[in-house]
Amino acid sequence: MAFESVRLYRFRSLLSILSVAIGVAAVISGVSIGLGNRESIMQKMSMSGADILFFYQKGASRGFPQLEELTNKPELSITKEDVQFIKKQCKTVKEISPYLLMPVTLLQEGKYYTVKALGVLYPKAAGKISGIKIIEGRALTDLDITAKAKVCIIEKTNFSDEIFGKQTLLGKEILLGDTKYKIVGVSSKLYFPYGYPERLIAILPSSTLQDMIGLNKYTQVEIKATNIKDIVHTREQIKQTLMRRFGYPTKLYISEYSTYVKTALEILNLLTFIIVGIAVISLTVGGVGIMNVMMTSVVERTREIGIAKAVGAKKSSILLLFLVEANILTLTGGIIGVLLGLGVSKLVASMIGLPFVTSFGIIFFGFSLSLVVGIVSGSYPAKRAADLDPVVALRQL
Amino acid sequence: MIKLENVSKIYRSGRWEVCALNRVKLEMARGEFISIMGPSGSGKSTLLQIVGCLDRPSAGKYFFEGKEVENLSEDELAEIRGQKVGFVFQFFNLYPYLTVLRNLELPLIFGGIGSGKYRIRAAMKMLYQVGLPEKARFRANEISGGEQQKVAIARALINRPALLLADEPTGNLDTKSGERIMALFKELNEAGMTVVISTHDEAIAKHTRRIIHLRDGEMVKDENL
Repeated sequence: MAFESVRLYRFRSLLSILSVAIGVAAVISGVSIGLGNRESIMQKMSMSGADILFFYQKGASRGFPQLEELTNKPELSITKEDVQFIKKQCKTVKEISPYLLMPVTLLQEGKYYTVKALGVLYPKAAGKISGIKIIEGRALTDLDITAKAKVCIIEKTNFSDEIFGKQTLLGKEILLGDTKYKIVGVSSKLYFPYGYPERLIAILPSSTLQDMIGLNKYTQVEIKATNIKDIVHTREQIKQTLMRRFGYPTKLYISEYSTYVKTALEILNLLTFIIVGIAVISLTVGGVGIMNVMMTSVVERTREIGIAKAVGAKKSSILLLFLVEANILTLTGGIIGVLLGLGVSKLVASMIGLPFVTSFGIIFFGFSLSLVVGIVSGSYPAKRAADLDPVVALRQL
Repeated sequence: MIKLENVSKIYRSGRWEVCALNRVKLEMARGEFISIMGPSGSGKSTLLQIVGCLDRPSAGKYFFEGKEVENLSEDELAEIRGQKVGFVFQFFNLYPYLTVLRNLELPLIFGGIGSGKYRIRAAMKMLYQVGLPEKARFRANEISGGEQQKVAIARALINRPALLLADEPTGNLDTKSGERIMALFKELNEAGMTVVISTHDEAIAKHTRRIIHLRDGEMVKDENL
């Protein structure tokens, strides 16, 4: 019945379906584009290292502890066990990489240079966090670490060119401190979120470097969170864990990058909220349109309602009839709106180069919205219809 | 089967009051064939509406099969209208955009009776009874007035009601079609159904076996033919 009358009043039904469709499409594309924007900004932030945290025990200079401090103050240190403990305790830690960063001397063609030696315990994690990109040769392996191999990777910078000239580095041996290391790889310039001085960095197995200085410790730890959204939470978790383990928070430094990310995410959320707000307004307009159509329909079909009552229709049947009719309109509008919305957001995404984000959730949201609009805007007219006095309704011509 | 005790009906519209029925006292037994006669505005339709449980009296008592209507809920009244009463109107009151078959199904649909298949079978049976099986797939507005009234009667009968009420059933039909409708009513009455029609046409009233005369809402004569 409901279908039949929707068909009868085709043009009017079409218009109201259209208004709901536009409303739902606006909601869907608004949410989808908003989320796409968010995803894109998050990807960019994560590429720029915004999802990386690091911490260290402050030395006397408030920076990393120096060699003498590490030697003299046993509490000023991070061990492999500390790192494994954090990894176990904090669920949102995706990668963790402890480093031992030490200045060492490099003797090259009779000249001494001070360079930074970066001892790495987990080469794979270090690669992912610090973006160590091998451009020649190979990366360090776990085997290098366990075997305490005397191998290193040289960071290629202006400084390295100055020291070594244009010769090929691969396979050469260099003297760092009192030990000879074989160069097995060349890396492009490293990226550390907190920046390093323009100094050459030689990446070594941490075990080898620890042997050289006679200390089984690390100076700092870098952490990549599972998701940039979790970074605030991750930082808090790490802080709590560290405090529990070390117990002297004043000596602890944890990077603060997360707060920027937090602000950025808040702005993005606000943006999405505004877009959805505008879309909801347009959907409301659609709902009012449906209500108008249904009210007109009730007035026009007063006599039909009277007949229905005369042949035994109860109030509830009339109520249901009109509600179903309103929902046929809004759900059809909803389906069209979801498709239209996804189409528009895909188009916009490809035009301005955003990732196209959609999910079952968004689609479900669109449908539920149209259902809610149908029920809300259909119930008043339906109630009016159900409450009609059959005698009055029949008298109407 | 039906008993009215001093039933009055007053319509109010703003400051106007119209007394459509005034202290009507009346009984109708099962199997009767009654016509209610009177000029327009005499209260014929109002009487039928009250008898058919479409409306409630403003004063007085109305008993349908021994139950006082005053005490019944709206849903109970709807049930009586659906199950025990069949209505036929002067203007047929079919849904013009629905097919004849679908119009016949409506009382069953609203009454929640039977499956789709059962309903179609029941509707077709009624169409055979009124002699219009070939019009099943036509829309209600595509058939003639006489045919529409037959469909309306078939609709009124589909739930096998005990009481058939017809408000000026021939008023909108030519004489020939009117006679055919009356013949159909007679047939139904002979099969045991209580039939009550309203009319202002003496020739039509002559087909029935009891005529109740109304004037200005009052019963002025009750004659058995």
